[in-house]
Amino acid sequence: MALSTRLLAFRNSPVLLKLPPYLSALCLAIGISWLFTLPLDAYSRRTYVSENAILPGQVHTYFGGSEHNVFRAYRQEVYHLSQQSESDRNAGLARVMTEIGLKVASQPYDFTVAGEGINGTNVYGLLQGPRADATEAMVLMAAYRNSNNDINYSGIALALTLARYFKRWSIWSKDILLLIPSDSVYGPQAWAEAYHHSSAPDATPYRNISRLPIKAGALQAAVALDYPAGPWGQRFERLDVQYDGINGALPNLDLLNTAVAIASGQMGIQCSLHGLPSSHQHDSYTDRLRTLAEGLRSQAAGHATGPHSAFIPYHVDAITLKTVGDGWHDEMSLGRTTESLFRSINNLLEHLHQSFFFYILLGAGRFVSIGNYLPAAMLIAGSFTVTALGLWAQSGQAAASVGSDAGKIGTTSGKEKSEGFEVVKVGGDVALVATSAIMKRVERKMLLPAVVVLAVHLLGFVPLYALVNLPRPYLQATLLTIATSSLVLPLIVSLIVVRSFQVEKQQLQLLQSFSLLLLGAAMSTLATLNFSLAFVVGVLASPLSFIRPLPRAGEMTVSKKLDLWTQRAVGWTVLQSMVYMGWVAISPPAILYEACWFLELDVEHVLVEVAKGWNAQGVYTAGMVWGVWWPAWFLGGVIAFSNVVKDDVKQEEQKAVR
Amino acid sequence: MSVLKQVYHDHPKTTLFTCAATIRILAGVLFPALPDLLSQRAELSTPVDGFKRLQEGLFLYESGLDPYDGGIFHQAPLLLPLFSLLPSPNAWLGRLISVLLYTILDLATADCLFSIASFGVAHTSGLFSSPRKDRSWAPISVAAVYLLNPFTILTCLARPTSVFTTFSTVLSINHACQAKPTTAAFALAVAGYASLHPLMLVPPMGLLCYDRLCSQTSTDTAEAKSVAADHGATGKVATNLGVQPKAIRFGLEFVGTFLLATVFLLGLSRLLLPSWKFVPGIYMTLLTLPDLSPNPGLWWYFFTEMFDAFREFFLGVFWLHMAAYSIPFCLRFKKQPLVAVVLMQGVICVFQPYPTAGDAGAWLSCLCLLSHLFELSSTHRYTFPALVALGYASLLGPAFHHLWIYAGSGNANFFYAITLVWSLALLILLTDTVYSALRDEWEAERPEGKGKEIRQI
Repeated sequence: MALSTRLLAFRNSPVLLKLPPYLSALCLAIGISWLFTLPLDAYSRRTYVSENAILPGQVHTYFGGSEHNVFRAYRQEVYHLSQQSESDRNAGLARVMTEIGLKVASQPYDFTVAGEGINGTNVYGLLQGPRADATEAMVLMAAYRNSNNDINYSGIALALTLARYFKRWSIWSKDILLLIPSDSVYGPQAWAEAYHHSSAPDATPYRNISRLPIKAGALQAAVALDYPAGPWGQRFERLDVQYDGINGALPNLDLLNTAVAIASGQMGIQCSLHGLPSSHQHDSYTDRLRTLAEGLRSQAAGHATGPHSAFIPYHVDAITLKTVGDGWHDEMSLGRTTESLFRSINNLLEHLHQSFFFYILLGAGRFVSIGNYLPAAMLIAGSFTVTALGLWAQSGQAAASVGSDAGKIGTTSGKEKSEGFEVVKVGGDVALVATSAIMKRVERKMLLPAVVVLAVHLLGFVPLYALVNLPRPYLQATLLTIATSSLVLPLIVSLIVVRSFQVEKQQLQLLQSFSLLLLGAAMSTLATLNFSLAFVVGVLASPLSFIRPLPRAGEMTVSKKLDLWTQRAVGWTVLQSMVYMGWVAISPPAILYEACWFLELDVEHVLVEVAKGWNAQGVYTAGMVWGVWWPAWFLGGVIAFSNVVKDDVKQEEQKAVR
Repeated sequence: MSVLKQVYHDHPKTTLFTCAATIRILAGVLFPALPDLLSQRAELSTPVDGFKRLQEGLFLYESGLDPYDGGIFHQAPLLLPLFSLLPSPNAWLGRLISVLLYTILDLATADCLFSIASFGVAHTSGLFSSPRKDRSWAPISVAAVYLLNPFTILTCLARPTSVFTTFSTVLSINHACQAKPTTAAFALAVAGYASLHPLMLVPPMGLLCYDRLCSQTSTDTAEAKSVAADHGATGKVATNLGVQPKAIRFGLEFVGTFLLATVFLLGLSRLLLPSWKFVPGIYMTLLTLPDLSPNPGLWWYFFTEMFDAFREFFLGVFWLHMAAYSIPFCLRFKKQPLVAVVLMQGVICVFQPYPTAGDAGAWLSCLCLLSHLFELSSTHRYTFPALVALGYASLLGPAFHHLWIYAGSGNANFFYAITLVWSLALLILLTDTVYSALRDEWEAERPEGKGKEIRQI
């Protein structure tokens, strides 16, 4: 027989039908443990610069000497400006930039999220390279307030000094834009968005961004400086390189590698990631795993982590250099690092494309490429699909005949093979055909399961809409309402579906199959866009593929002892409530509360950040949670308690009727 | 609940059509940016049927210039006077009216599908009667698959002009089932005039029309049979073959009508336009593929990396490959002509130069006309995995397109790979349908083969 026919013949074997839950569990176990093997040397690589044109650290940096005096002066100036009102401060910064010789403009912006307003002004200047062709540009940023809300005195002063220093060189092949946004998140977002629009971006109730009066060419890279040392200065120990973008998008690895190669190679400044100790001394398995976990957390949330984040969705590679700790490096080392970095970016003939766009960093010098880490998320997504296919195959089997196995819903009775013969008539001819040869297949009634799945997924837009649009005072109450209604709503829907529509066991299997299929497809797609979010949501939603309708009291077929125990009312109630608790514990609102408690975060703060992310930054994490994960969990509950809510009396009546 | 059920049972068509129209119009009203967003998607609009290009051509036409001069506009000329009557789609009213027009087209297509399904042509032809007649779906289900299909709804909002081709093709099938060769040929001529590929549906359509014509003349003998049965006679009734139309004559008439209709449409178009430029503008674009914008098809990627010397050769090969299925389907499925039509539609939907997701959605709905075969394909073949693959491809396609064009971290290979998966899924459904149709024919002769696995001797 042909191979394909042999394989197809396997479809009918009962072993294959029992396999999916175990296969699913295996996929899940391998997927999760895969992540833990990544920090090993065998699965990660040392970073290297791929683009030949970069030549990192090859150029002699002349930043120093009297530039230090200029820096100190600018730092005092920034300190004095910070004591004044915002408009005076912006005017002062613009005046400094004009004195440097840049073309200056400012851009006001206004976001309104969760009933609160976020507004500010971006002040920026354009340094046109004297021998450049004005088609490309690089951006040097120093936000007025960094992510911790400290004033970035030295960062702004250094940016101004560097701009003044760069103005005197004629080697620039690209224009340089010096950008000083009011804050680290919304200012750069407004600027990057307006830069990539032909006129002002459309004003909505949530955002009003003015157009940019001055623009340069296509942005090749952006570097932000975060050095909040006060007017009397402070030396730092190492540089923290921040690279996460919106929705977990990452810059080209070359930009990071160049910055790290210059800082640690040419300048001798250690680099670290996510605020953790530098991997120079701390390169053990646990350190790498911690860096991986921090990266996963930050990218799964998808929010902006610095001024660089807003640029990455526009295909502009960007990083933030943040000074950390107390050491002996000072502003001139940082200035020389930035100068060298800009000289390397200046060398580029093409947009950065040689190195990786998808990677996980285990340290400043170690990374995992996508071929090594993607199977983890794909296996987890696959575990859902395997269960869904198994359930589909099971739903096509003939149901247990009435009277023989009535009541034993936990078993899969397999195909019913009734012995005997059947009469077949064609035209005037009659033949006797053995019925064992005829496979009994049941027609699948798919309309109700499909409609229920669709309806519940559309219902997910209600909590999403509520959580991103309501003002701050109502957010905690909204989440509490959603959490409590999530406790009962699935049971109510289960009741309606089971009793009013007289749903059969097959249709419940189809319901779960469709729900898991949708979840698996969504997770697979998400893994290509944001691996971290797909992994985290996949792991948290993984128990859903093992949910089956809870058997009724006395119907357990796992073991006779358990069956006897559950026949007593107490035993049965305990089991039910255990399952219910477990199911509630893995619900999205519950996990949000648990995470906030564990990480010691304020729930209201988290909710406001989520709302801000969705409306102002374009982060789709909330959409994934409420539009894909929560409906899947909801349907898991509908399935789990579908047997429990069945009406005993009606079932007896139906049996009697048949 | 029971009231709704009652309404549905009494007026199924009205309920369904109202529901479908409501979904489309509500989507257009509640999300005003959605139609324009969808018309820009590569999966829903191609250079030869995009709504934006239609607006370009319309502007040139209304200014008195030749729309085909610029090499942008490649759509049927007769659409221009139709759309110039409607207000400009840039305003909300014009947008709503254009969505309304496409909703009406969708409803008309669904109506045609409903009547085709209710004729029962799929399982009963002049030469063959399927043993699975009673397994075919209710006509309302076939119409529902078309109207509630997400691909169809998204296409309606994106408004490509390939919907006119789909409508004309389905109308042609409808008239062929009613044994009206003139109108069937005319509708097919409209479809072929708009996009070249329905030309390849002429043989199967002619076969279907001829078969129905023969059935019609032999229903007289069937009436005689039933009259004889009433009177207690049990003898056989002979069919007068002399009364049945002659195949060759019918064929010539059909093709002749088709050609005359095409000439008429081309002439009418020439009257509207200042020159004959529209002929190379439309047909040479489809034949020579000058525009290689990404779409869910198989051609564009090949031709981006092809040296000019081989271009004509491969264009010829690709077109010849598609056309080559037409006659063999007619020969093999002589007894089931509707199967031949639907399979040819499937081949066209995958292998045409500029396919869209809407074409695939329309073909999947036409596939439901052959619903009596679904039992066979789901038992013996891979229907569910193919549909799951189709679902995955429809989610991953836009994701990879975004990664390629906007995020810049992917490249064309990502998107084309998903296009290949999409085409593979559609082709698996096609080949499974071929298997099911042939097996159905075989089981009509050998009922003892029911339920057995096929093996090669």
